[in-house]
Amino acid sequence: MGEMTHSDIDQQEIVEGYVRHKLSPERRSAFEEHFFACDECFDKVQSAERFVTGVRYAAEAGLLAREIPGAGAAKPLAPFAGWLRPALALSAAVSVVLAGALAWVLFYRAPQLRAELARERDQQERIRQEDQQKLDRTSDELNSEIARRTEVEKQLADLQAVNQGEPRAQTEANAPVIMLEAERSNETPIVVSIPSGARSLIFVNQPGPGPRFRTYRIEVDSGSHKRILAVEGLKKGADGMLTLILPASAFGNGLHFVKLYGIDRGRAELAGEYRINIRKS
Amino acid sequence: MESGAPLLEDTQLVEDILRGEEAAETTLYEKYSARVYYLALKHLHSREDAEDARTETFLRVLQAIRGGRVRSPQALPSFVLGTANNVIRETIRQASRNEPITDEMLEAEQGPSQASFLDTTVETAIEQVIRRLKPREQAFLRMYYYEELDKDEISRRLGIKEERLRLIKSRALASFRELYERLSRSKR
Repeated sequence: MGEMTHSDIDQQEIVEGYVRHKLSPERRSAFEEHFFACDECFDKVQSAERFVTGVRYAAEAGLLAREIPGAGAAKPLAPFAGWLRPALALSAAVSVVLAGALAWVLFYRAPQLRAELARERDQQERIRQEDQQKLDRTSDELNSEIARRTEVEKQLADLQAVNQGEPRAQTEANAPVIMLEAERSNETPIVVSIPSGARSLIFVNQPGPGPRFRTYRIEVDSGSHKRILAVEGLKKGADGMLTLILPASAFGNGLHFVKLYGIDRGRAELAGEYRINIRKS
Repeated sequence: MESGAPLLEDTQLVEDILRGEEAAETTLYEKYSARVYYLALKHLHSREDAEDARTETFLRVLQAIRGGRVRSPQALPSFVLGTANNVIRETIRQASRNEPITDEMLEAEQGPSQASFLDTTVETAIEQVIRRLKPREQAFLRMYYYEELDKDEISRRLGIKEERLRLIKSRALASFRELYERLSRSKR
């Protein structure tokens, strides 16, 4: 056995092996040769010897804890462990799967469904609001139509009265009178001022002499040539004048075109064309 | 061997003893006395026998030096060791009534030397070390040094890796050395 180096001694735990009598005779002799000449190793040997002595003394005196309950390797399994382990493994696997499914439902599917429900609710609310708006619009349109119809009926009643040559009793005394001169292509419009509160306009025309036309028709268009009204079946009065009362509300401010046709045996002939500038105050 | 200076010192010691210098003999004794005593106590398990073996060893070493029988002074440590082993063998042989002593018998004599090296300082130091250890670490020391279980078995029983066991052991030993030296100094 050759000489030992400190590296050998440390790596191979020679000091402890020597103290615990675990070295072969050759290695033991070699180490004794070493520590007889090496203070450091002799010091280590003495310390280790005292330490091991102390530990053995402590063990015999009951100062050292024994094995720790529950530490170390698992105890041998019971005879039924053969099927118990796979069963436990299966239970664990099922538990993991269930836990995963529950987590999926709780953290993914449920929020998704809640969001879908909220979207559906919002959509329904939007549809309801749109329906309500449509209903409101329809109601407004209906009311407007009713008002318009009422007005038209009123105008119609007025016209019927005119047609019968009987101005309505409630015709205002101060209604503006518009004289339709029997001239065609009149360049200068007839200016008519309608005071506030006036409900009617009285159109007066004197057709030419002779019973040339049996009846007359009058058409009133706005400045933009949009038809405002047309009245047929007009007849001359006893004084030979055509008199027509129209509702003031049918006229707006500005230029209006009035055409008078004479009707004979179903044929209409332009008898007069007039321009009227309405000024409402 | 990794030291050069001690060889020169030992050569000088031998020369000085040959010249009859008593101081050199004292130096020789102080240098090897503890080693011889330790070796003797380890094998003989008796402080009295170890003391006798030490005395006899140094008588023989000095006689050999004075008689010029130490052929290589630089091998003085080996010479002292060999002489000590001879004395120890003779002591054991006498105890066993002239039975031949072999290395195997000498090894067989090396049972637990607890009583030989145990003293109050060792007891106090080890008790303090144990108080610093966790129960699992204490169990390891017991299994390893007292029950003589191998590390694999201990590792399996305690559920601690072998590297960890080595660390526990070295920490406990270092702690013991520190406490022992402190207690020894306080007793002087």
